Amino acid sequence: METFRNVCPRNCYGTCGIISHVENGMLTKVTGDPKHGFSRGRLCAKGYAYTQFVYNSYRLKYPIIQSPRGSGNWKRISWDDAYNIIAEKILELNDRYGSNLALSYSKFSGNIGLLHFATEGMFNSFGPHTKPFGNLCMGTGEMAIKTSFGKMASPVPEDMAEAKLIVIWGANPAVTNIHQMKFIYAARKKGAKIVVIDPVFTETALKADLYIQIKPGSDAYLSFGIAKLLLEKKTPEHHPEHLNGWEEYKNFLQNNVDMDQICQKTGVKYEYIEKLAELYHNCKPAATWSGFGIQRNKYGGESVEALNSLAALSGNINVVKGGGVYFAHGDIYDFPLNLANFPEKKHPSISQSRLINISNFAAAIRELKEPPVKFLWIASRSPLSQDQNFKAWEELFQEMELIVTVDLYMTNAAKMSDIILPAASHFEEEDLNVGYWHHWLAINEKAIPPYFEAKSDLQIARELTKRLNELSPGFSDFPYDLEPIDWIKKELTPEIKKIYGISSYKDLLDGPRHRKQIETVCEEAFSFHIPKKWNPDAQDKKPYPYRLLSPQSLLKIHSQFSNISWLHPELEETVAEISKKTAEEKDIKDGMKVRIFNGHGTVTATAKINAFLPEDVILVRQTAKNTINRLITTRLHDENNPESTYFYDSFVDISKKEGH
Amino acid sequence: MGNVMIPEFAQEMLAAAENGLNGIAIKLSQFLEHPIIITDPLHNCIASSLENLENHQTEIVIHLHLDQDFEQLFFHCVLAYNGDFKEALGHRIIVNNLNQGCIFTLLESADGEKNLMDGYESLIHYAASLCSLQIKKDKEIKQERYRFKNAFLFDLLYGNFKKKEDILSYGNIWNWNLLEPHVVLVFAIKDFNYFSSDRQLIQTLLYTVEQGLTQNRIEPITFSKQNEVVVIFPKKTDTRNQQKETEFITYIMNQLKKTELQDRVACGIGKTYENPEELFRSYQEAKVAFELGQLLEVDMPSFANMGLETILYKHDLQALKEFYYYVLGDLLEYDENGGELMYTLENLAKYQFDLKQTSEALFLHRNTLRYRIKKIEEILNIKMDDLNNRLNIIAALKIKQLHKL
Amino acid sequence: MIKQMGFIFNADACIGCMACEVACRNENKTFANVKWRRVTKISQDSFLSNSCNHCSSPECFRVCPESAFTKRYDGIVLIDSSLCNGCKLCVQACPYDAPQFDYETNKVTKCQMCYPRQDQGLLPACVEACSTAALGLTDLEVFMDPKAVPAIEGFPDIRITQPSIAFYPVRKKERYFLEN
Ligand code: SF4
Ligand code: SF4
Ligand code: SF4
Repeated sequence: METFRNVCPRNCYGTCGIISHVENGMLTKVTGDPKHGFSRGRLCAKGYAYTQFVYNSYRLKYPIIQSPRGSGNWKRISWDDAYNIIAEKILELNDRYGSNLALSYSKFSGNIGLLHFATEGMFNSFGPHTKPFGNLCMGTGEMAIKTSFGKMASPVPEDMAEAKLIVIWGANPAVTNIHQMKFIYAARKKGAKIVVIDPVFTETALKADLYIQIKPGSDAYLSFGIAKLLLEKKTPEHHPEHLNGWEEYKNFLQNNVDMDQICQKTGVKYEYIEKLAELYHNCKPAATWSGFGIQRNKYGGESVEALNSLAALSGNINVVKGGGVYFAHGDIYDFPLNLANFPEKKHPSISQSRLINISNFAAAIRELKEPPVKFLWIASRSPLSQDQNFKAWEELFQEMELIVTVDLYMTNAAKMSDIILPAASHFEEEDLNVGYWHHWLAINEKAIPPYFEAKSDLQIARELTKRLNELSPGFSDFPYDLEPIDWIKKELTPEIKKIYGISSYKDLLDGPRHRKQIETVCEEAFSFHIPKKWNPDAQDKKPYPYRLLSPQSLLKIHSQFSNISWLHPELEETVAEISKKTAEEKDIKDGMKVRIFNGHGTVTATAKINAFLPEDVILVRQTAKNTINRLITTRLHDENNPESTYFYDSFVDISKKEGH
Repeated sequence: MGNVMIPEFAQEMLAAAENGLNGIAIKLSQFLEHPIIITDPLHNCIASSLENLENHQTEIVIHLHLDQDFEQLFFHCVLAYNGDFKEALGHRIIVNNLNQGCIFTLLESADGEKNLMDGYESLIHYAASLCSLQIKKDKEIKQERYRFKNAFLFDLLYGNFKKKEDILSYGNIWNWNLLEPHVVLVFAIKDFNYFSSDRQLIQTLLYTVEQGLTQNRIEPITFSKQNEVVVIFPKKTDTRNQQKETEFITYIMNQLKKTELQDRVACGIGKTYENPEELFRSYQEAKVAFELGQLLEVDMPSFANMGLETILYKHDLQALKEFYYYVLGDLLEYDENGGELMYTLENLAKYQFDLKQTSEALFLHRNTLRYRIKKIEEILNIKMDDLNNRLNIIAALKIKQLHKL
Repeated sequence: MIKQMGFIFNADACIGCMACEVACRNENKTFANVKWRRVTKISQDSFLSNSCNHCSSPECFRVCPESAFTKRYDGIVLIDSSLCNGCKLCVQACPYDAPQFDYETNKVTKCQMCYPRQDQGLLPACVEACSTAALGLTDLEVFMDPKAVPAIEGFPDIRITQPSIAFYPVRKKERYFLEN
């Protein structure tokens, strides 16, 4: 038996180290890498199911093509044929429009390994094209952190164990970041208080010493309320006076923030706000965790900035272990990212690619003329499971002349493509991984040969660009001779080696490495935040009576892992959690089939009564097939801003399904 | 370092301890010129300087002086043994915080002189510490010897032997004739806790049981595990007659009252088996009897005597189901329209039909509970204060539980 | 030496993440309906991760007509599936749903407490996988902790079988819910 080091490349806080056990070229078992200081030799349930993820009868084995699109009439083709069809289309479009602006791709976080930027690199090597930018998942938070602190930084998560108070706003680590729980518990063991603030009574809330239910989207209000009460308590050893924007912030709290209004806006009783202020006042250091949940609405930026200010006011943004604001860090941007930043090939007349905000990709692309986009490459995501505005997507699909999807499984989006290229799993390719939560760097070895004819994004980029150049010399300047290990070496610049204290990639074969210098925030660069518009009386428009919350499921990430029988022995079901009151009003019983609908469509689901859900909320977890995102259509205020998608600003109605 | 001398008596006592508790007793009595008796926690003499006392066979009755009690390290008392009464100064022997016996100095010397022993306390205290070390050592040696025996008994009691010859030849090592019929008895601490003291109490229980067997001239085949002590009890004569084991159990229970265990121990008796291969069944039966005994508040529960209860453990599920529906079917039917009576009854049984506890657990007013009981009685057409009905209900509920009906 | 290896389950710590359940499958390659370990929500406030409890008085064992069960000196209860005749009496007798009937082989299998791993000095796969330390392993012959209890709400009756599992119960929490 041989073992290899792998890294789980899912879009997840963990980015865990994996030891893969291989016998005769077969992956027989996976265990956690004990040398990974964050996951410490453990994986999550999904991770432990990886053998079934790799060897699975649903996995795609060969390149396939269907016609007509969506018919399910798939035929196996050779890689050669696939490359030829794709290359010819690309060249023909280039001929037709005189540039590659008609080409675009939709790629996101299906695999966050650095070598998966090969897709971006490949498109750059064609010259100007139509390029998505932004981060639909956490862009808003990123911007807010940068506004407050002048840079992207997040403390060492292991240090949370030193906190005396941990306040988790809109994050559910018990489901989405299980390895963090042990540090939270370690803090509790040493006397820390754990507080969860969330509209949903989550698994993490279940474990908290204090849980406070809050109206969705009102986190900024609550933090201003806490701040106001905190201001009234004198904190002798801490002086926020010298911080930027202090006077304005103080005046705002004193003059504009009205506690009755805060209670009314947040739904939280005064005594509980008082309790939170008391905790922030008495417990140092306090860790404040801005979950991604609070920033998936149009007030998301306000909320994150307001929490940053609260942390500063309570004296918690200095570098003491256990304090600070946790969100996500930008360690990845210290890397050259040679693939993502692969220089765009020059075009005689077009200076650069057309940029499209990924948060509104489908609708925005459709508005483009001269040239319109005609070729779509989808990789590392299934927009018809996890994105929004499905109508725009479906129309977009119809307008495309060729759609290519690279995936391991037949996703909703893959079904609507012309060609599917089978993707390698991370056990079948080399890669280099940095997380966005912890500060470990790890290498991903190739542990097993590819499953049937699967190939990595990088391998596909190499082979397709080569074919393009054969057909049209000089079309791409992608260095297709470089092997994966060359790209890994290129990422490990002297600067990076210093940051991680390694001398070569080989050091990583002995285990993941922690960053030597952690980006920290300092008070000098911090500025307090007051809302741009303060109008607590304004009521949000609710086109439908219920707000839709659509968090992740425990055993899936959108469509990923949905085909694994260890995790999902039963057929997938879309479950709508509703409050008792909603159930009574709509005469819905547990287990009934219901319709959830709004102007964008209808989704059938099974009702489940959740006694702790706010009355005006319907909660539907992410699924692969019949996904609730069909009902989500939002547009950013300003599409030049790389904000997160306002997933949680969606409203729906519900009714029993006929026949009940 | 100054010139610190170890007193001579200390050195001599230490040397005497080589000869065990008897050595200590004899040496101490030489120093004090008074007789010494050492007892175990059950007040049996286990060592002494007197020649007429037979170790492990003489029970000493201790009469405390009025103003004295066992909580004190030193106490004055009168000892009664072999028909004599002697005044004595006692000192407790403590091992791991538990009372492991006493060392007594008789106040009357061999030549009839009386001395209250004032001024000799530290000497006696020192001797007691040596005794406690000695007892600890003896225990460890014994545990070492137990190991192999335990492994054999473990396999025997869990039916891991698949061949009779193996059992017999192993048994021969310790001179046990396992060809004779045996019955398994289980003594276990009720409401056992993961407390440290409870752990040590098991040692006391084992000791008491083994002493009892020796006293009854029965070769002790014993085994201890977590909260229980298991005895494989020989039945030489009439296998159906349970008199011997009930006498033995009564004796042990009385002995236990003298220890910290008081009345925290309950027992269970399995069925008698002639074939040692089946002894594991007797063990499981004894444990079932133990549990049912507590449930039904029977003092000496024997699996063989539990007519109804053994049906419970028969393999024929159909029969069990029929019994269950016979006893509780009407209630089930009644509850179908959303009633809670079954739930009430289950709790009632759970709290041994105690109204107070049940009403508290269910957050019900006592009168509401009474009303419900009346209702249940009506539906089932029985009287709940009849012990037989209670047994039936408990049994039926147990079937429900075990077979998930 | 005779031991009684048992599980310790901290109901206050368990987050119901299922890592233990899937880690068991990853280790033992049980497929389909055969689940040696299972995570469920047993009450409003707690999850339960449960497998065979390697009981002190195993009922599975007492009812098996083929004497297919044995108990090792370390307390692990094993079934020799080759002796199993598929009668499912143990499945009915066990209060914890531990013996699993495999419809493909017509035999019962169950958690073997990862004895091959334990024999090598490793922890059971499920215990190793638990990131919150909610699931632990101990020798109940010597385990002592006044804070531990023999059962928690929602756990099946422990009388008769005396399962080798000790619990830490859920502690009280403070909660505020919106009053709509
Ligand atoms: S791995 Fe641990 S925390 Fe997760 S379900 Fe199992 S016992 Fe609970
Ligand atoms: S849990 Fe069930 S299967 Fe396991 S030993 Fe106990 S009775 Fe037998
Ligand atoms: S001890 Fe081993 S076999 Fe038993 S549940 Fe845990 S992982 Fe599975």
